[in-house]
Amino acid sequence: MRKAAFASALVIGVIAALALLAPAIAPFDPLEQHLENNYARPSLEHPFGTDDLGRDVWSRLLFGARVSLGIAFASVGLALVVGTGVGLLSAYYGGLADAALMRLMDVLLAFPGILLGIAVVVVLGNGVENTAIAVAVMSTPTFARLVRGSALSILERDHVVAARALGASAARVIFGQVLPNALTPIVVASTLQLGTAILIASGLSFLGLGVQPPYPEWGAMLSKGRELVRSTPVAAIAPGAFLTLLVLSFSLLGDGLRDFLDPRERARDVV
Amino acid sequence: MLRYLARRLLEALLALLFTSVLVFSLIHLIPGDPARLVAGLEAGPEVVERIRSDLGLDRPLPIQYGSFLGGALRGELGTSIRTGLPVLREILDRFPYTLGIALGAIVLAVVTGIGTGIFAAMRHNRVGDALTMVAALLAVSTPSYWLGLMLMLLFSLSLGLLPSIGIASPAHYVLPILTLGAQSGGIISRMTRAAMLDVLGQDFLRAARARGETERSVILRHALGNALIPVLSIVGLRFGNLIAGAVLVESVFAIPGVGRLLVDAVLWRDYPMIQGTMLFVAALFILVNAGTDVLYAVVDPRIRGSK
Repeated sequence: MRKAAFASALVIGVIAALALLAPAIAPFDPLEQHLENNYARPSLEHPFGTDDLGRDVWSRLLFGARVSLGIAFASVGLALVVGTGVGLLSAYYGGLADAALMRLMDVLLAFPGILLGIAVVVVLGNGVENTAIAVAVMSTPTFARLVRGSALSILERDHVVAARALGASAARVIFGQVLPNALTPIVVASTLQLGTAILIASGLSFLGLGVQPPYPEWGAMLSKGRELVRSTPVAAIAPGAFLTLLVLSFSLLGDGLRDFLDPRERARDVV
Repeated sequence: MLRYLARRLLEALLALLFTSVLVFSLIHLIPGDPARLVAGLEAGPEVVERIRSDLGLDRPLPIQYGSFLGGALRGELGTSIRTGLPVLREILDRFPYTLGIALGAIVLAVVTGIGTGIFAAMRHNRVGDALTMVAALLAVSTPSYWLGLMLMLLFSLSLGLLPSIGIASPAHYVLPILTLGAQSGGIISRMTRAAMLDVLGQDFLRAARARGETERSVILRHALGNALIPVLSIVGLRFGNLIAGAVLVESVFAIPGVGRLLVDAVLWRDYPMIQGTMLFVAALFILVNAGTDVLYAVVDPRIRGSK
């Protein structure tokens, strides 16, 4: 398991490096069209061929990694901050605030992820930022529920009860005692959620509701897949293969981190 | 049991109520005039005004919500801007396709998931176990829309065995069902394996073996029955997800189901259709999940007493 987690971290690192270096290493402008050279088969010049507009697929993959990873990190970061805040407040104050916030989170959880993403896109419109917000809205309840659960059990611990009895302020208890002790499940959930975020964001783009053409994003690139699958199959295969590899890596890394950071979880590891 | 049933039913009703508020709010959260949104950008001012008064958009929000909810309960979900047909009729016309592939996918996922999960558990820490779990993890991580394209490439374009798009014959269902069922199959397989491993270590199995029961009877009669209880909850949850996941698969295979209807409605800004399809799919998801929980409580008495 540990080897798989290391390999996954390496894969994520390589893809992230390729994404960061895209402007320097991409052989072509990802938006530049060469209609005279469309549907080109893989060659030394175009390792993954060209698409229907003659754009270099490898360059689009590199720049697409920036968009896909950018949306994933931005959305999970946003969901992490909001969800953790909601979870901590719910656990600390309890009562009506807890009940109201958790019912709201339940409703968001009761909505299938892709449907919630579509609902947010309906309200905000499409585009890179709105896709990230849509995925963040979908991921927030996961963090809120998780953090609330962890915080409730940490608040019962003797050292926290003692701190509160000594008159420690809410901020001091939350940031000094509860949050540091709840970090392990938060780190694990964030890693696992990154994979889900990539799947949902690229799913929205695939449907034409997320990142819009001509910008390269792996899901958006796949939406052309049905046209490309006959002429240049590799152009349809490559974005999906990268997506699968990245999602799989985040999943394995999340599992590995859980084992590494909290060995007790190993026994409860179900899915 | 009755208390549990009542509580679960109440929770489902609450979720449905919140869902209706969310779906109702959609049109009011979009910047701009809701009447203009419903009428469409091409409509003249008199049409916009007529729609405003027809839909009661000039009335206070709580009253608007009341009539939206009342209409939804009577099955009146408005009229599509794009086709001029009643929203519910369009949904019900398309639903059989979505239900067909979702049912096929859940049957496939349950059969392969439970089968491979048991297989892996019986070969714990051996090659068969590792290979099965790698396959399951791949199935979970692969985006359905890409898997669909790859299956299309292999079975339709290369081998010519199956039709690629549309839903004209039973053969057209094969690839969408495989595509939609793969991820759930992977999840159920991992869940079954974990549940079986949990049960296989327990004393009552040792007791059954000590009584001289055959290994087959120990596995099928004692272990599987107990292991399947937690798997059941995941099956129901997956079915709800499959109905929603059909949105993507229907787009890959150009299937005119409810999912495709929703995506087209969003692209065409057909707001009554967006609200109707969202309410329909979300309500179905919530009811299936509630039904699963109740069924779970029927087969596992420990659940009723918990929480």
